[in-house]
Amino acid sequence: MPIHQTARTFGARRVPTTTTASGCWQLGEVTQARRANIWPTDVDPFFSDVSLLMLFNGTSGSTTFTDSSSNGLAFTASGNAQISTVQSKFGGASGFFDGTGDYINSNTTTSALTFGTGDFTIEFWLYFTSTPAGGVLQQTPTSAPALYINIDTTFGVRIGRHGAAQLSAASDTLTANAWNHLAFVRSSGNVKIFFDGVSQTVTNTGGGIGGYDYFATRAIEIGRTADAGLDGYIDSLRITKAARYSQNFTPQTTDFLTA
Amino acid sequence: MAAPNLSSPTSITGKTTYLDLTSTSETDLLVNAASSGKALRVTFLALCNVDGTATVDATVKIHSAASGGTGYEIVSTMTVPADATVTPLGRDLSLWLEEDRRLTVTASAADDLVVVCSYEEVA
Repeated sequence: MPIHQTARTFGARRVPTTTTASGCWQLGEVTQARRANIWPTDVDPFFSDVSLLMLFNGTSGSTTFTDSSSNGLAFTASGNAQISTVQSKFGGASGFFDGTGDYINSNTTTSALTFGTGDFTIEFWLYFTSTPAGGVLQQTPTSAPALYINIDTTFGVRIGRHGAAQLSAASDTLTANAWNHLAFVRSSGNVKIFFDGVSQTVTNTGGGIGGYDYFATRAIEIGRTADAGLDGYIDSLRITKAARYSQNFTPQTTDFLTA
Repeated sequence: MAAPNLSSPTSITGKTTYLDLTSTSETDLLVNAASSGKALRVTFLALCNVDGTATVDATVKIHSAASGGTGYEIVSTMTVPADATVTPLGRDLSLWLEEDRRLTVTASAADDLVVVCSYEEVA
């Protein structure tokens, strides 16, 4: 029996699509729709705004780093940067950087971090064995106004713009030998740093970065900044040109969606 | 107190309970305490995604005890589309909740799923 002809549907009778199914559906109808592959599946409502999506999945020792966003950037590994299965938050693997000359580079200039003065969310899972963890990502060339995210004992966790202002949060609440979720969110010029979904007290230096125009279209490096290399594992890094979180939240319990 | 003999109940009361899942933790929807002397017949269960844009996954379990126990899925991580309602249980597909049993619901996202459950309390 076609789905829209079932007798027990109440409300307007309709057929779901792969993206929408508003209305009320009985379990039998859902089953039929799923068998017909027309029941909506999990989708990320912000996916069209995702400019970089690194899941860091793959086989141990692989140097293939895949961007699962629609940009599909191709990264090249330097040093010993590699996929590791020693630690993983999701997918059985993560990106490993030993802190000495390890990083991956997008090779080409990209607008993935070209936020202008608009909203953004940069988030990732980080596993480190000792502090400081080091540089997480940056735009290159590293001269102003390149964006960077760095973790060290002097400033803690910080996001900034090379040669200019920055925003930082004390890193002493991050946990060594465990996965930490970090999120940097700018919404209408207000920037917040979240650790495991909890907004942190932040310190602005040089006026902060709330109103900064991240106009530069440059290559991206993950695993180091001009200050230091990342010593640890990183998993599920996602950059979105939208503010995903406005208040404390529960970090995702499964890997980021790829659609 | 023993569960009632369904051929000669003392009373049958129609009831409805609600749940707004404000977290992603497994949450009790309906509990039939041990020795309640009642049997609960779930005649309507609606899982409503109140988010207008994002899907939410819902899991419904019946547990072998009113507290703790082992959970058995009725619905497992079923995608409820934005602004959609799914009714996994109804009068034609009812479920008896005996003494010392409970129904729980889990959502994959907080503040997205509202649950409405109507049931008959047979004593």
